[in-house]
Amino acid sequence: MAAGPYNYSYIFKYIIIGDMGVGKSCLLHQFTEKKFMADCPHTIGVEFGTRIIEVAGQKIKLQIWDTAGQERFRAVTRSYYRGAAGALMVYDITTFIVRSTYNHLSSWLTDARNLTNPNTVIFLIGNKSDLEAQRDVTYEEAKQFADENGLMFLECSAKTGENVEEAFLDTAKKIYQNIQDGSLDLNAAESGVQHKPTTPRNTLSNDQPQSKDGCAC
Amino acid sequence: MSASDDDFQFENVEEDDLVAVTKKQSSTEDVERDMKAVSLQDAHPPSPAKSPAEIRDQLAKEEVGQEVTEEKKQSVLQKLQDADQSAASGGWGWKGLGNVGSNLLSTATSSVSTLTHSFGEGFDKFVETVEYSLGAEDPEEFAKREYADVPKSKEGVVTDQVAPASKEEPIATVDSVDESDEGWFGGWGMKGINTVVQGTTSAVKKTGSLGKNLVTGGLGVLETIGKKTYNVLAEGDHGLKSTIQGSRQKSSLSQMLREAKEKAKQQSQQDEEYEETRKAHFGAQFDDFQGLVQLEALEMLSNQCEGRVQSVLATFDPEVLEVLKKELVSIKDVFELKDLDEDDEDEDRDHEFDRLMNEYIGQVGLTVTAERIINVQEKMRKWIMENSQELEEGTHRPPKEIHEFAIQFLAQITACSIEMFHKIGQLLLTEKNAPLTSYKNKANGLACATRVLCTEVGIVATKFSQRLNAAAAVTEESDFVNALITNVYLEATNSSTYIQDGFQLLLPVLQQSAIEAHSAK
Repeated sequence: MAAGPYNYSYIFKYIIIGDMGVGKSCLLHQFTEKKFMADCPHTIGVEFGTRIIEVAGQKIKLQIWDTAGQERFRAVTRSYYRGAAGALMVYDITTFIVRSTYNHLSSWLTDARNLTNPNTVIFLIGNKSDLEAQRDVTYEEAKQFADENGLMFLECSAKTGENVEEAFLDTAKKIYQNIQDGSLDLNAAESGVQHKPTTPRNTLSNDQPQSKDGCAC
Repeated sequence: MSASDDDFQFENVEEDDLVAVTKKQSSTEDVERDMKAVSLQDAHPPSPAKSPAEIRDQLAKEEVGQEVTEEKKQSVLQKLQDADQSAASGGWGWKGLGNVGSNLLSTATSSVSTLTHSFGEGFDKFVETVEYSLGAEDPEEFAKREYADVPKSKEGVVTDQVAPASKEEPIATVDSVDESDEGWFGGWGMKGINTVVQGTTSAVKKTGSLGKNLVTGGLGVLETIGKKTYNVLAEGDHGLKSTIQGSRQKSSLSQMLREAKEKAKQQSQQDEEYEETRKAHFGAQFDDFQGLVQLEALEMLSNQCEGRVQSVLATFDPEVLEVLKKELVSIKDVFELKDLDEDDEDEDRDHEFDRLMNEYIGQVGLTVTAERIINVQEKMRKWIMENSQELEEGTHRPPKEIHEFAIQFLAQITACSIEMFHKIGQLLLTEKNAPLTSYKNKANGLACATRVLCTEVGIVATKFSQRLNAAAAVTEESDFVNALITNVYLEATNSSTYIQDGFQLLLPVLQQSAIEAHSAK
């Protein structure tokens, strides 16, 4: 039962964050399934998606953590930021609730900065770009916010698929570039990148997940 | 998305697509690279053995003299050839191709008498390029340079033509080319034929009538060289033939294409084997069903809770702590799972799986259900039933297929269990208003569910082994089948371990939730 190697060279961990209802899960669904999910249930805690992409001839597995936007999960989802190589910060271009988008984005950004490593690529995504008539956040002001905070930025539509690939792929390219120029140390814990994973495990001894010691009470 | 059957299939489709695309790409890339390598080495082979600088010096000397004797030409070509052959024996992507270059060179020795006449600047640059390209490098760099390389190799050829076009004044020719360095070579660095023409035009301006010769002559000779190369490849001469025979080399473009095709086929075969291996691999399947990432996330959650539990316990009022601690310890006791190993794998419990799971998970008191696990379990039971019926009817599946299904099932039910535990953990932390005393009950439900799951995995392993044995009796591959049976039991143990670990990770989460419930009071 010889195990072949994995057919990708890297695993990048992404985390998708942002307010409830901005379309995080729909973006992920569009990216992994190339379909629009009209009735998307609320995410409970975190859901996962994967897709293998290619950057500069290297196959990369994107392991995407799609977090719940509901406030009640905020404490839970904060546990999952650690070790993300890319953070996709999503807002809804049609919802500028009492000019609170900036506040909300700032708060998400603070979390992203505090809970990930300095090299984590943060990508701002303005979703629902298909709803141009209901637009409430201009491209310019979002772009300005992105520039001020050193974020990558695109407006996307999970519905039409516009720019969805680009956002995910550009993030990967940037991470890959950081690896190439040495600014992202793969050996560092929490880089969010795993290089050339070991061959699939097949023996009992290798297959044990780290067992936890009981809690001292 | 989450680990459902559909998702899993989708992912495979995705990967297959990707593989197919890559296959296509790689085969064309291979051909391109091969062709390119030939065209490069046709003109100037890489020379790691003899340093490029040395060859440059030699050429420079010869240029200065401008009286290249036949001997010297021979020796230079010989060196290039030698260097080339040594290059062919190692390194990146050049292997095997180098010899084609040297074949061409040996041919060139006899047929193109002016080849070394004035390599000049072109060769200089070219050697640098080749030198650079021999180092290990990533394909992106290579691809970027690809454009730049093509004009450079042409450059070498065109420069060759300067000499025949202006035989009366060889020195002047070289000089004029040097003078026009800016316009001429500046142009070459760019992409595309337009730039080549522009570069040529500027050279024409500077070199006057000579330049005109250069252009027309250059194009003519390009054609001639191409023809000659073709003839050489098609008809071959003695030198070429013997080299080919001596070193099992690619003799023509068509053969190169054939070999590239062969390579692509090999690659796709490897990919198929890889997919095949994955299908019956517990770890890979567990990963595909998102079990691994669920476990990782659950572990992160658990670690976070454990930290909080510790810090809370350190800061709490001792009096409050007394009550709380009692509760936390009683939760912890539930997590000991003392009698798990003694659990008899009574098959009577078969039919109760869904009832028990629903009951125990319901006891946790959250919106999470065991529905998914129950579905997987049902699917598996059905499969086993059908399989035994098939066997009675005389048809049988190969043991390999039974094993594959067993592993996939084990991986899927494990992944679903971990996912369920993870969901429970997340919801426990967001739950409000649960009484402190309810947590022991929740813990009990989880412990019982874990037991049922582990028992089920054990029963299933036995059932699959029976199917495998039955299949072995028909196919008479008992050694092979025994190995498969061992593997099924091994992975069932693995599955059981994952499930228990997932359960254990919930302990700090339950304790943290209990603390919060307590402090909310």
